[in-house]
Amino acid sequence: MPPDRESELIRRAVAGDTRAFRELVETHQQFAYAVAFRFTGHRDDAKDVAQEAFVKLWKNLNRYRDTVKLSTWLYTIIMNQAFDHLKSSHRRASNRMEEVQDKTILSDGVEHERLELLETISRLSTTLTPKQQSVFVLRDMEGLEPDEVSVITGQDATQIKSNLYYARQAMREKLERHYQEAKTIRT
Amino acid sequence: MNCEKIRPLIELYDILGESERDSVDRHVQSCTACKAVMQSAHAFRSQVISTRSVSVSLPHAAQFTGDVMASIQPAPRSGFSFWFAIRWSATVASMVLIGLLAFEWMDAPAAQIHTPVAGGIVLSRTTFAASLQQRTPHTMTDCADPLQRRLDPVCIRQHFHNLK
Repeated sequence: MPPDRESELIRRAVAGDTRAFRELVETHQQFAYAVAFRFTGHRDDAKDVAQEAFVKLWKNLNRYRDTVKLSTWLYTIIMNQAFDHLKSSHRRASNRMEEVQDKTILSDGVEHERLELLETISRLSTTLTPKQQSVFVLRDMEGLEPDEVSVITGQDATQIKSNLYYARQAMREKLERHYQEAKTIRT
Repeated sequence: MNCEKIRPLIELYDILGESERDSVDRHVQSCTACKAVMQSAHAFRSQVISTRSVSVSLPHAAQFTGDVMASIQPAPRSGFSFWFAIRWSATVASMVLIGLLAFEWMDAPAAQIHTPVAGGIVLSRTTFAASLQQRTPHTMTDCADPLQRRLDPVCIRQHFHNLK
């Protein structure tokens, strides 16, 4: 969507035009769902998080300033919503690891390997601390530049480096352990 | 730089500055242990990066949009609040009408004297005073009685006259 069109839609939506907001939702819903999926690792959770994020966006749209892109602002809302969701549903726990293992066993042999890998990494990342998960998902899984990650998470460059370092180390270990355990169960 | 200082940099290789990358590259060429760590880190990062292109499509997109729009719509008024609003509207309308009548009563110009019609509504102070003058005194009037003193036009006229 061209930036001018998006600005106009935001202006109209702030004035209460629900049709303009609908257009914004239709434009960004795929993106919001994909980001939410990377934070939660579950389709249903991702849908809930994306939906709640749009409701929050509608409520806070009057606070939006066009100094940042709408997508950047959406990243922040989705990320915080995902953390709230994971906290409230008590999903940020080690028992998520069991779900990952079950999923791997069930879908063994299915050709969507990369989708499986994405699901596995996303679910494993929910066992990180929120600060570590946020930089890991945004930098490594979404491919954002450190400056953007800083704007979205509110962490400075040093914090980003520190959290990314621990997140990558932890994730590498978790993934290796996960594959080893899955291999053991299969044999 | 020794291995202890290089290891964290290996993990953050993609976001390092040029000078730090050079240091890592130089160290890794001469240290097999750090080289292995770097290969492992690189393999893991490649795996993660490969998931970026995976598109996770939103199922039932139209329904999703509908659900979002339904969530942001204001809740419909309940029957109670509707009648509550009507009651308040009626109260406000009555008060406005009373205010207008009082305004008419107080601010009617002196020249605007009308002969009151029997049974009609007296809308101005001057008209009301004129009507009092035209009335014949009531034979049964007892202005000592507190009720009649307030309500009987003859007593009221006497009261105004005494004031003058």
